Amino acid sequence: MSAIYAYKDFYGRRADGTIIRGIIPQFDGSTFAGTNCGPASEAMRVVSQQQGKRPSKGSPWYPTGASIRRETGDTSGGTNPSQTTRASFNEYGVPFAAPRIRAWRDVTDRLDSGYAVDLLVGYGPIDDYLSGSPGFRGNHRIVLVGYNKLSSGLKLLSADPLYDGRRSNIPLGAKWIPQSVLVKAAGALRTDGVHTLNSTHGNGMAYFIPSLTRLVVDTKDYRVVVPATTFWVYSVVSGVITGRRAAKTGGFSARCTDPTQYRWPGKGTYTLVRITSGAHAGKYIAARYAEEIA
Amino acid sequence: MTDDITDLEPGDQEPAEDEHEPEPEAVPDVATDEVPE
Repeated sequence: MSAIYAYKDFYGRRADGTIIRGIIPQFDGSTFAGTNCGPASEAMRVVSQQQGKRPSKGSPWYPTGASIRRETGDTSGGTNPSQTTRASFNEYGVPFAAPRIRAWRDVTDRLDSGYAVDLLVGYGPIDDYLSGSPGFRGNHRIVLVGYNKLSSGLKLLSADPLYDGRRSNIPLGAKWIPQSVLVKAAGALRTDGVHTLNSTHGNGMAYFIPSLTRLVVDTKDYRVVVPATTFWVYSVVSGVITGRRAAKTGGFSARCTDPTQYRWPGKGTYTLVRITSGAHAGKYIAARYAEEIA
Repeated sequence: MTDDITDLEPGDQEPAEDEHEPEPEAVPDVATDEVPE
């Protein structure tokens, strides 16, 4: 089986001015660079979710660790997921999946389907394997963008904002890391001054933010075929579900977009399609009515 | 097929809930650390 990738064509400027490809580096010469793993990873997840495409508002594009940090308004120390997701939503209007603590399997399932996963880790196990800052053992954020099942075991592609090649012993660009290392790192995340994710939630869990879109390599066309039924019509504003109304139909079919995940804050994530032809163009309905056009 | 979409009328049954992934429970807002350089 060949590797499966999320959108991963990241680049950004390192502190010495060199353009680094494969990651958005946190050490970009800005004031809070040492604590900008969260903002830099946020930037990468947003770019991956946008498939590299500039959103309708916000700058700069691509975002940087410094630009996301500036938007948080935080001028001291590390950042947490609520700050960075709010910052990118405010600046770019890009929706985000709720940060979550779930079984590790959920991480690999998403990567296997082409989604990026923004992962919080305790850096110790990665420091032992392939360090982006030798000796650093604290909390860190990376973005996983690839999945490769090999006979030697599963490896995941880590876009670590520390992998900027700034010294000869520092990796340059995204690197494949064994799943076993990343599972240990996910569990080693310190959730407060005393506890780790392993000690508060049990082994084999991960704290992460998945991207809401995946890299679709071969474009397929879809249509909805809705029988005579009652069904929900969703309102989607800037990629976020804001409500729905019950409707009924005697049945219809029409062209539609490919199935996409949308978050309804407080309720969950729904997979919907937008009808693109006929009298109902623009309406969002559940993806279960969609089928590929042969 | 009538190609119509109309609002429900009194007596119509509400549609079944669409499949969705529930919103995750609130998680601790974990801060990252400073990387020494």
